[in-house]
Amino acid sequence: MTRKLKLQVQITVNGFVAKPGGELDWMTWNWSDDIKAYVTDITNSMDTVILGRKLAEGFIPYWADVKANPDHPENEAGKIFTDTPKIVFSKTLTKSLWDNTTVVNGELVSEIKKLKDASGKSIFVYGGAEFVSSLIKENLIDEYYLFVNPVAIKEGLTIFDKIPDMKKLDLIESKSFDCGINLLCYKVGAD
Amino acid sequence: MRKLKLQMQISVDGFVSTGQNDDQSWVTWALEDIYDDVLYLLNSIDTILIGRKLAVDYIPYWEKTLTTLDDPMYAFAERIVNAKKIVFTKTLTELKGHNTFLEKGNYVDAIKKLKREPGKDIVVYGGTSFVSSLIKEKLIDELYLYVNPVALGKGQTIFDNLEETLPLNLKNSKKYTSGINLIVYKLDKKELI
Repeated sequence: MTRKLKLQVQITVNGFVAKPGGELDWMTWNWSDDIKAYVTDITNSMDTVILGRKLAEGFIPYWADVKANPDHPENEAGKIFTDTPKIVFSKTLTKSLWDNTTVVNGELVSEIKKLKDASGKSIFVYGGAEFVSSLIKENLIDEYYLFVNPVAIKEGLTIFDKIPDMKKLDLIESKSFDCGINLLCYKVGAD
Repeated sequence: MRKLKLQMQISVDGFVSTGQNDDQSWVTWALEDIYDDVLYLLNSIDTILIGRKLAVDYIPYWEKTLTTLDDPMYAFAERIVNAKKIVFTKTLTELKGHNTFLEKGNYVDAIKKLKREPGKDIVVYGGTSFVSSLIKEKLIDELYLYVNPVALGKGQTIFDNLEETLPLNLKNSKKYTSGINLIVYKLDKKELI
């Protein structure tokens, strides 16, 4: 029984995870209590976060700051993301610049398989778009938690742009939250 | 005022067609699953808007379905054939079909006028480029998106003409056993009409 790699991402109705320059100004930021509780719940099922290098440079210092500020409304999340072991995939970094973080330079597929074969809870990935796109292309993601935000944008970054053919998914859960976000949770379909 | 509703099949990654000809081979075929909801929407409308490209296949298809009593979609055909169908075209001079009319003028004005007329609601099912124009012009009031459990990677989209971020209000969401998920949104109508 190998560990699962789960993707959690905010996405527009028309399938974008960021505007062309990476902007996230379209996102629903005022989360209702029900989605906060749901995300806290799934976050408790993981003990490892993997990130692409580009996202890591923003993500890791951001959550470290949040953890350092006890008055921050997301202080609990700051603790979780800062204290959880993180693995950054990079071709350029030679060593980790952050606490609780390992840098991996090796080949993506074999490194992820190694991670999945190790014991522990689930592995989560939050982005960035290009990194996730590579994971999807290599069929490495086991469960997709797509938080569909109530918005459409003209163009942007997508995570399915590298798939060679259409990719079938199995819907395992759908859930509406009070703030207008709708979770669609899929696992990889039988091809 | 009458509402204009859009109903479309869409992939997880936001495409409504894989190719130039509104190819739908990727759509999950689970009629028994979505039947009641498709019929419910059809019962709420008396007018169908159609882009010319879709109309030339759509209208004969449903008239043929109506000749087959035991067709599983007979009830749809009955409603579609009897509804008033308005085909928007700059090129066609004639299109045969029961209760079918051509609209050659400005579609924005024509649709605004239609919405002010008395009657049941109005629906549009496609085609892709026609719907894309309607979204750009903020003419659509409700979106009924059947999200199919598949990612396509590339294809045609109905939001490519947007000039700015389009906020939506989640109204309903429903999961079907086939893996399709219907998401219904209302559109903000602040600046319309």
